Amino acid sequence: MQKIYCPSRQQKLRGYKGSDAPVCLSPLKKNPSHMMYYVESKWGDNTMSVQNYHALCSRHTGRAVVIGTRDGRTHRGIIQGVRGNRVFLEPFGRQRNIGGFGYGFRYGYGYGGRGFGFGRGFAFGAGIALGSIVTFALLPFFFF
Amino acid sequence: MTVIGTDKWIEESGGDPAKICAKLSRYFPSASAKEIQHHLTQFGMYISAKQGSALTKKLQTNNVWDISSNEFKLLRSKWNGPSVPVFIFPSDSDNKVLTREFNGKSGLAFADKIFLFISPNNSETEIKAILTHEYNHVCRLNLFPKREEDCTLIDTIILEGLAEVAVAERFGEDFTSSWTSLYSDRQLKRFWKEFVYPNRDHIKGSPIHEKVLYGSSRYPHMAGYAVGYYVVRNFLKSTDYHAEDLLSLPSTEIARL
Repeated sequence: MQKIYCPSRQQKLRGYKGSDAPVCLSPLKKNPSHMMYYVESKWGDNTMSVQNYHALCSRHTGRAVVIGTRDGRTHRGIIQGVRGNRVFLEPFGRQRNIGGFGYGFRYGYGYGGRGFGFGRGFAFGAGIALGSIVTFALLPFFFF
Repeated sequence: MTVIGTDKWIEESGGDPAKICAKLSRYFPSASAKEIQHHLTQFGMYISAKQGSALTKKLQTNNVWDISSNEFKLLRSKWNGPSVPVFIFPSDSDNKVLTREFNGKSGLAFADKIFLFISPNNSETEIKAILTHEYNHVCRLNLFPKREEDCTLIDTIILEGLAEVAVAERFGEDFTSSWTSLYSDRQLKRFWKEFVYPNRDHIKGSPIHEKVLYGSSRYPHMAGYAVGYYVVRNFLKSTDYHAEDLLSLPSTEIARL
């Protein structure tokens, strides 16, 4: 079972159906200035299903988030989209262009970009596997 | 320095691309490991540790490192080029565009280093072809008076065209990249007039440069690359030169501006 802390008002989380819907607790107790939702599983490991994260991430497309993964890393960025079992983030700020000349393949350009349907020129190459997400937090706009 | 034993790196680090990129950071003085990883994955590097170690084993059985090492020595003596490190990594096998259009192979060349992203499905000639393409970039970039960041669209497309013409000369048209045969000459002539010529002075890294080169939004798919190949091919047709003779020729002369 997961607990989801919501903003001060009782907000029903869309995207969850059936009996496995996470319990919604209110008001937000943890670090209220930085996080609006805080998702964690009861046992501290990742028991929230990939489908739930798929719904959570696609619902917050275009929002600034911090995602913690099982290997202990945190990823900050704006969600560009979810494809397959990966969520793609665009890192904050202008990415420094390291340069180099390619063979013709570049992620986010050409067919790849069009198929993805992202508005911006390029996508964050790697993406984060939904199965490896442990924490997911939304950032308010003043934070970045 | 020649082909680096990146297969050992992947074995030692369990395939984690973040650790690999930390090792690479000494070759990129101004970028962090995370930025390097982001950049390389954009060009087709593998994504997960699991993928990395599984694919590396397959590449090792295909002798990818030995093939590249021998080919690199051959190319160096042929073109009299500089000795640069070559890093070989598995490519992202889950990427459908990369698999469908490029048969899972990709590469990235800088003036002082080469990255190759190879799939286990690539044949020996395909590996040689991609190394030829990338090493051609290195040779031209070293003979070229401009720095990489000052390159304009015309320089980039001629660079790409030259590299692919070199591949066609060595291994035949069958082993050239998919973008060489996307359009007819008539279409390419129109693309040159309509899309490339008016934007020829946009510098590398600017949005227009990237859009025309790869063909996103209103530009045709791979427009810049395809036009570059067409322009270099046309230039060679009317002269007695071979691709390697053009390495130091200015782009404006090849494009007959």
